[in-house]
Amino acid sequence: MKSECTLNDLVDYLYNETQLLKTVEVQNTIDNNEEINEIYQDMVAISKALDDSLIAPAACVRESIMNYARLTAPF
Amino acid sequence: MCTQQISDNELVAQFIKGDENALQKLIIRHEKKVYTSIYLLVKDSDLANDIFQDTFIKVINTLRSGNYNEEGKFLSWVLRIAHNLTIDHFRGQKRMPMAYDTEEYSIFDTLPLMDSNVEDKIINKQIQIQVRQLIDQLPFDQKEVVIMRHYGNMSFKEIAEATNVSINTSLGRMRYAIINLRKMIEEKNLMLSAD
Repeated sequence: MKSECTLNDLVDYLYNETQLLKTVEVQNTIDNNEEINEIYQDMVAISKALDDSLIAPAACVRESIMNYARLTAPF
Repeated sequence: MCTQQISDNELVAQFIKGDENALQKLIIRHEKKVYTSIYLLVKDSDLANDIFQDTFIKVINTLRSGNYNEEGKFLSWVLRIAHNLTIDHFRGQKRMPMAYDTEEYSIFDTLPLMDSNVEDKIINKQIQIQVRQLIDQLPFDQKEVVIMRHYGNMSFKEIAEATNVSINTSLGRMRYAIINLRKMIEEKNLMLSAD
């Protein structure tokens, strides 16, 4: 059976949005096709880099928000 | 590291009943994704902090007014508020920002405390800055889908509805975003980790 795994399928798979049969199909393609596997591993690395690039707001901002919540709390 | 034992829905319910600690937990849990999403669009830390604050003030007011009905998608909802406030800001400015501010904050501001050496910390910090700059170089529609899908945990279907395109188009934009990021990383010969 010939597997037809598109780049869109890889993106869907990366974000856990593939249906069950497609998940199996994509996984098989990744496992058996070196080129697809390489592309997928690049996607995983980029996904991780996006996670690692998260930054937090200034600490005082959270305090301001909490102050607002306290000051405007209903009786 | 904080484990997510209490769901967002439960924290929302607790806050609505008057538990402000629940709000704090929600903010701490999601602040990085919300703030980074805003910052990637406005490229200015002061402005991003302002919009972040406005976002959560709106969140507080909406929760207390009883108008929250997102059925478990708290982060997606907050991201939509943040996104709309950011777009409103741009409409007021009538232009998009062209360059990042200098990202002048302490190297140790957002890095977790651990036993890695100073050089690794510096390298990781540089990588973080470079990745954000790469995202900034993406076309707006690709940057938008990266923010919504990767940071906002919105499904491609939700992104399609929010941006008035087909699911295939939103998938395609994400695909091109990843391809373009990959290309830029290769062109600039970037390493994505300090290892």
